[in-house]
Amino acid sequence: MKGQISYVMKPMTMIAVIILLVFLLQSLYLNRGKETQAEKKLDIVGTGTNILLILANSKDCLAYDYQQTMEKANILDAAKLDSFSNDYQAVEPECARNYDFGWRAEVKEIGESGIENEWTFGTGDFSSGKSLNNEVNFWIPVAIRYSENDIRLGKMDIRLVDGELEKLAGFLDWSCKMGQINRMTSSSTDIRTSYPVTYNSQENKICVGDSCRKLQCRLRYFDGFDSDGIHTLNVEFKQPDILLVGG
Amino acid sequence: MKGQTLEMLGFLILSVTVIGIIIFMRTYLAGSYGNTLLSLTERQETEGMRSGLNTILQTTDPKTGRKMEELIGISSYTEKVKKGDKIDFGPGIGEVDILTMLEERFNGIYGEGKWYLKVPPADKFFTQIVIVVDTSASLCDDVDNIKSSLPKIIQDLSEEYDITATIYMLPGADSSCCKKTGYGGYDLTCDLFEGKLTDNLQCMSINSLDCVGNMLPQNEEDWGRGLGCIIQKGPPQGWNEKSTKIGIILSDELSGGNDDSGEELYYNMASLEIGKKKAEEIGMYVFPIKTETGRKICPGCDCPNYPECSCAPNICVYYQNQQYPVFSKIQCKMDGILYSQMKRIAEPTEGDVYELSGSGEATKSILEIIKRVEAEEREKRSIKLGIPPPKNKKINTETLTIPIPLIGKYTNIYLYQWS
Repeated sequence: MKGQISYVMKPMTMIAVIILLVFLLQSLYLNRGKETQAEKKLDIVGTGTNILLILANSKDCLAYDYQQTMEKANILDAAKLDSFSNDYQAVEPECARNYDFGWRAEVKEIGESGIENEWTFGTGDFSSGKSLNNEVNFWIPVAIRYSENDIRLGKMDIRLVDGELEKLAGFLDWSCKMGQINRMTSSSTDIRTSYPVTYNSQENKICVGDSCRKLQCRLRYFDGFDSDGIHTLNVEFKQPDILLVGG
Repeated sequence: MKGQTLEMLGFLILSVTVIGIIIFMRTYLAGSYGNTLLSLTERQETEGMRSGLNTILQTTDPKTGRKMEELIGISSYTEKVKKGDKIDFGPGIGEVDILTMLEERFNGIYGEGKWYLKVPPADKFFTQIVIVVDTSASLCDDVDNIKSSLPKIIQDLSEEYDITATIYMLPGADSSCCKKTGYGGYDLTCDLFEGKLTDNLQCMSINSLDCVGNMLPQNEEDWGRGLGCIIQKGPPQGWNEKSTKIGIILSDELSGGNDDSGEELYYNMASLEIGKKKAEEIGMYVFPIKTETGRKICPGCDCPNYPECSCAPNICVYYQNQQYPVFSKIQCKMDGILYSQMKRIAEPTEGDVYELSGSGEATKSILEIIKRVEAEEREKRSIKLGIPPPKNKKINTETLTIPIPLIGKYTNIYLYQWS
């Protein structure tokens, strides 16, 4: 009888241990996924906050440049807003460029009758559908300075997107920038796309599916990718603004 | 059997370990990113609120071209503290409703019903206090208490407030019941305060004011008329239109004195009306202090006659641990009428009646009155916009100091915001 019990118990214990270990591995896998998601969310929120603060407080961006008086936070120069609105309709301004995410900002002047003036700048298009990983929207209050005696209330909204188009264009723009400042002439990366990639050399735009972004450098020897999947990109910079692309 | 038990035990240990690892990973690994994200979000909320306040204060008004922080300072100083109060900036600019404009801007940034702003006045509490003292013998203990404690209190308060207090003694009566040390007596006059008076605390005989006609107090208990006379003539420094005026009455009898009939008579009412009318005219808070009438010591107002004092026939009052018969039974029984009379002058002037139960409480009550009026005045003169913060929400708060250009001082802005 004793021997019979042992004969049954051993395989049962073995099965239980296997189930337990499978559960442990699955848990490890799920946990890592959650961890990565939380990390990504944290990354995008932190980046969005930084971009808004840079836009509002850097003199290279929109902050009013006080020559003599004490500097105050979040006071935007109305003239700079006009200029940003004209110059950066398809790309983010260089002063607050981020090579991992794409963004578009909207500054609204709030008056007695509601929104009295509006400026927008930043990229014109974002990843969509399967190529969109994450996006956040938030805003900060700003003051818009027309003159010393005319400072009005406003809000600056930002839409920040993490997607395949932003990653791809970000890599190409970053390589271009590194080349222009003589820091690095060649680089490579693996890019995953959910849609085919096309390049419009006329407008110097790269597209993932239907979403397109303007690039800083012009691409040579690149016709895009006909299918989705993981693609390897090798790029080499040539002055003044050419990237030679190889697979 | 032993082998099976060990097998089971091994499996149990393995299970506990695996479950422990899973719990640890869920709690500490992914949780740490979650917590960082939460604290980042909270920080964003707080910084967003702070930045909103800063931004609004930096914006200008289109009519005057002045910044909001400057306009709030002007609003606070000029005591235009309610929405709709307009400040005249002179020809060319005209009137500006600062607080309505400010409210619109806060609504624009934080949303309607999601914020509350409070700006207390910047200047010191400026008060002029007059204390009318009934000089009948039954007030000996209370005057003694004022003499020994009030000078120091006024001196201490003068460091924090802009304060002056003047004690006015009603026309004196024979107060021979007031004994210094067992035998002999003294009258209740300003002589008692000799050496204790300062620029902030003075004492005057009400007769020295030379009030005439119906303003002239008729006796040592005529506090209604006495108050009217003081208001008409003003304290030694004169009335200042920006001061908060406080009138304190110290008595245990009806204004004009109690009558043996036990009723409130016409002359009592007339005296009270004079004081009340004058106090209302000048916007004075009136706080009558009802000193011990004997009711609390002898609730039945039926104390034995005490032969040693000439103020007989009276009930018992304690002074310097001895029993002195300075109140008639009628006076004791008029306690309730006195309270209602005092209420009739206190209520319309936003004051209150203080009832003393012992001789050491007069000064304490005066201090309480000053503190209470100060708090009420600060509340009245504070700018309050938005709706008070709800209790069931997480409230973000921010305090910011702003200048008041007209007087070169600063005040704080308190902002409460929730989502």
